[in-house]
Amino acid sequence: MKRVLTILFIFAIIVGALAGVVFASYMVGGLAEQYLFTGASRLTNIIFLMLVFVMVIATMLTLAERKWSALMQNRIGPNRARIALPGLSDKSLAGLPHVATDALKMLFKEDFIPATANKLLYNLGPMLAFAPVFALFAVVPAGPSVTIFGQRVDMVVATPDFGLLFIFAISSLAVYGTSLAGWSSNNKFALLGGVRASSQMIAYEVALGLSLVGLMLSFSSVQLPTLVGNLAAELGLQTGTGQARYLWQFTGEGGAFDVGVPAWGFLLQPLGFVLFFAAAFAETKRAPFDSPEGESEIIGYFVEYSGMKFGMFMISEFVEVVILSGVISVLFFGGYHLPFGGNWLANLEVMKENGWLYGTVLGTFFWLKVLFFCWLQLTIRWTFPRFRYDQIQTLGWKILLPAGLINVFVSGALVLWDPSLRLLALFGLLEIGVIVAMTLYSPEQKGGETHGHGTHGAGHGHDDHGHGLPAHATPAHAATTHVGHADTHPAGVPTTAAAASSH
Amino acid sequence: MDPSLNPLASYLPLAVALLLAGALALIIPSLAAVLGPKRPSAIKSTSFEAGSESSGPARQRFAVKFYVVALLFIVFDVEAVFLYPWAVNFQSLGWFGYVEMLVFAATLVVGLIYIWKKGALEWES
Repeated sequence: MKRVLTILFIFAIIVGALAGVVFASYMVGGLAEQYLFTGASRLTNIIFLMLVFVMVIATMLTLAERKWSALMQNRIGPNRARIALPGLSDKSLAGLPHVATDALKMLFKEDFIPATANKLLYNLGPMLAFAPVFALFAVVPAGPSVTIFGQRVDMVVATPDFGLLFIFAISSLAVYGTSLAGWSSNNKFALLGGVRASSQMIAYEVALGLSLVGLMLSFSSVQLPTLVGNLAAELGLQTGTGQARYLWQFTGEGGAFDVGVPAWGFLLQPLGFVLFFAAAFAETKRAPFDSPEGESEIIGYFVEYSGMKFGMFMISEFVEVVILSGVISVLFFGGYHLPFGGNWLANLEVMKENGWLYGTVLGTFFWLKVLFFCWLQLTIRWTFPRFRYDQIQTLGWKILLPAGLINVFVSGALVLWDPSLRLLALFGLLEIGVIVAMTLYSPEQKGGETHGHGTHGAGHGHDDHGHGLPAHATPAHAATTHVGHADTHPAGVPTTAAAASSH
Repeated sequence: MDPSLNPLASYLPLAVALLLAGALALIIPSLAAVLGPKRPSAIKSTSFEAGSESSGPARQRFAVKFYVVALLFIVFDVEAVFLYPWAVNFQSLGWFGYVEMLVFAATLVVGLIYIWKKGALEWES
């Protein structure tokens, strides 16, 4: 009971902190609009969204990852760093001081460059890994546009027409940092890590590009605020736009609480979601796609890096996790919109009068979605074993790419057949059912086969064809060899031992 | 999104964000370089190869097995780029545009099947 209360208390603190910062960012945006110039809130959003939200969540994830992995492995996790203040010096504070000590340690470590390294490229590596990743969040809308002090405040940095293309283009740049770091270190292990990184990139990048085409043709846009859409109540129309509209609406006539099936991306494009998540997960270079790094076994591209330069690689990985969560929320889970009751909320008198309240509620909801997907990524990272480099190629070229192409043209036919997207959503539900069924009844689970491939249900299902992966050592094969050599293995399976004794 | 913002105004924050990203990427390592100690030594500055002595520089030729796949990658990545404008205008192009793109993609799929059967995607053989 005490544990449950503690967890609820921690959740309340997290929600409260998110709501507080969302509120502050809306208010500062409103003040900037009023006292500076039109569009000044976009510049304050840079500070709040990119420097406060993304960077702080990414920093906290470094601790959350260690704590969560500890929980999954029945350990305690980091708890040694203390704050030397009266009353705090004997409290571990859930390991929070470790975040500060890590940052300080990296700042005050020697800035070391190996003698044989190419100095310019060696210094450029971590910068090229960090800068593109950090800039990505500029196009992600993190809250509704509301009116504060009579001024319009958007909770987004920039709304270019090419939103998704910006994400594709800039996120691909980060691999240059990785490859340069591997090559410029003049270390064979680092070089191999860098080459593995580029080989991984060519495996997932095509699937990443194809996975979102289905979404683009459903909504006829690549601009992220258009994909998120506006509620009917916000527009004053009968139906909303983008993912904020209902495919089927059950209740909600005349200001009542509205319930329905929203046109969220994961309903329209479940396969696209799985493909995008798998490919983008590979882009973050975290397990099961961590063959460029291989922290403990195969040595990664940043073996020659230490101090803050290593820290840049590490923090850019966590920033990528946050941004991927944000992009998934925006593209597939309706952005900052509630799954139901959105129109009811927007029509409330108190919400209409106080724009900041409406913005704070929905903005907090957006960041809760982001935290959920961060948690999901941490869990995946500590659940699946690493892919070998050729298994990543097999996954990317033989599973993800054909599945992506099929997804594009099947979705296209369904969208043309029924422009209201209802048929696409029904087909999506069917896809979800098939993916769940294939995950539950995959032959790998029945045979207890060692699996290091196919992170998702779709992958499992397609793997039945067998690509001659060397990792396929089924227990069935093992059993036959045992029978064959029963006389040399007397301590074998009881039945084979009995067969041997009968000879 | 906002009609009151002209295109330049909506791109300007993007430029500021990119500049900020570049500035941060420059400042953070520079700060560490200023704050950290400097104690170089001959052993420390050799390349770290799992504790054993380095067996020469890493600037050597080695087999890049995936160059065929890398060529294929360019072809399919360009295909994906062609798909984006098509997808945005998809609903106005109608069935005609659908069939056109199907023909375009089919030629590339034939290429993929060919290279698959040729064994270019098998590395461990």
